[in-house]
Amino acid sequence: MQEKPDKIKPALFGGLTIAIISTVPVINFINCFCCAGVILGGLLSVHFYNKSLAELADIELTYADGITLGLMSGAIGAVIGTLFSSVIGTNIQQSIQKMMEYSSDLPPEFEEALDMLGQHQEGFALIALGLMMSLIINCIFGMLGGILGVSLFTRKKVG
Amino acid sequence: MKSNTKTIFKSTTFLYLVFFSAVSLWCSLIIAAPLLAKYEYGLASGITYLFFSKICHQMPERSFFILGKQFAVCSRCTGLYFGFLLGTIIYPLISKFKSNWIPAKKYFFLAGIPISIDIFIRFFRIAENTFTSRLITGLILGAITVFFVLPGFLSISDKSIK
Repeated sequence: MQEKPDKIKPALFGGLTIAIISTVPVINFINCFCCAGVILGGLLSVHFYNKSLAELADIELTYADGITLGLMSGAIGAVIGTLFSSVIGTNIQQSIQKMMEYSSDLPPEFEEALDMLGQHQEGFALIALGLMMSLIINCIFGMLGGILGVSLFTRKKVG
Repeated sequence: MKSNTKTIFKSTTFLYLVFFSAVSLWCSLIIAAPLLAKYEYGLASGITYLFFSKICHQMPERSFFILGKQFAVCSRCTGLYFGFLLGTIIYPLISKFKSNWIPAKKYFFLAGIPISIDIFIRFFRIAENTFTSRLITGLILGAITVFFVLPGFLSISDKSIK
């Protein structure tokens, strides 16, 4: 019985794609379309995993693979993306500023809470909040991308 | 054999309900953000807006409003997510929970055509899209996408799927 290929490499590739799309200015606008960048990362990880499966005759791509790859690339993308954004400066503080520009009537309690978070050591709490939100969003949309990838890349009917 | 099928069906139904609840919660949050703001639950409303700001531009001129407060996402995203909810509701009626049933791939790409046209006519300044066009094209893609995603989620319960 042949063993399934390693999932780390395709997940890393998908995660890096997610991180780049999420952090590079202008390109990160793609994520404004329902996290299309994260879905694309999940799709790509499944695509590369499927390619490595093509060399093995009796192993097929399954939805379980798609879910695992999507979750892995989403989580990797969130961690690398948060690191990138801390360096580049496109972090959650910018999201908040952008939100404040658009929403003139933000509730005062919310602004107070954000000020309180920002007072922590170098805005560490804001980075942690950003990472937590990215992890939730990336895992959801990465998983969607992974499942979509299996549905779209398998030649025959899945199951 | 019969009881095995029954168990699988039961867990498929359970997974479907989990999926339906998650999608309903997601869509509720989109409307909850402005309502919370209206009724002065500022912190909860702000956190919800902040959460959705990571996945949508939230431009007021492209968003729906309720009681004078804008939705947590723009009209196109509203269409996509509510289309996804609509697709989740009609999925059991069409698929009858057959775990290995997915439509032909062409339907996914066909569902993407209206939304692509709507985006490109605006991008190339051929015409201006409207709230209705953004909402309807989003609804179409969202509803069709469910048929390619939900079988994968439901397959978690089906031990026969490797």
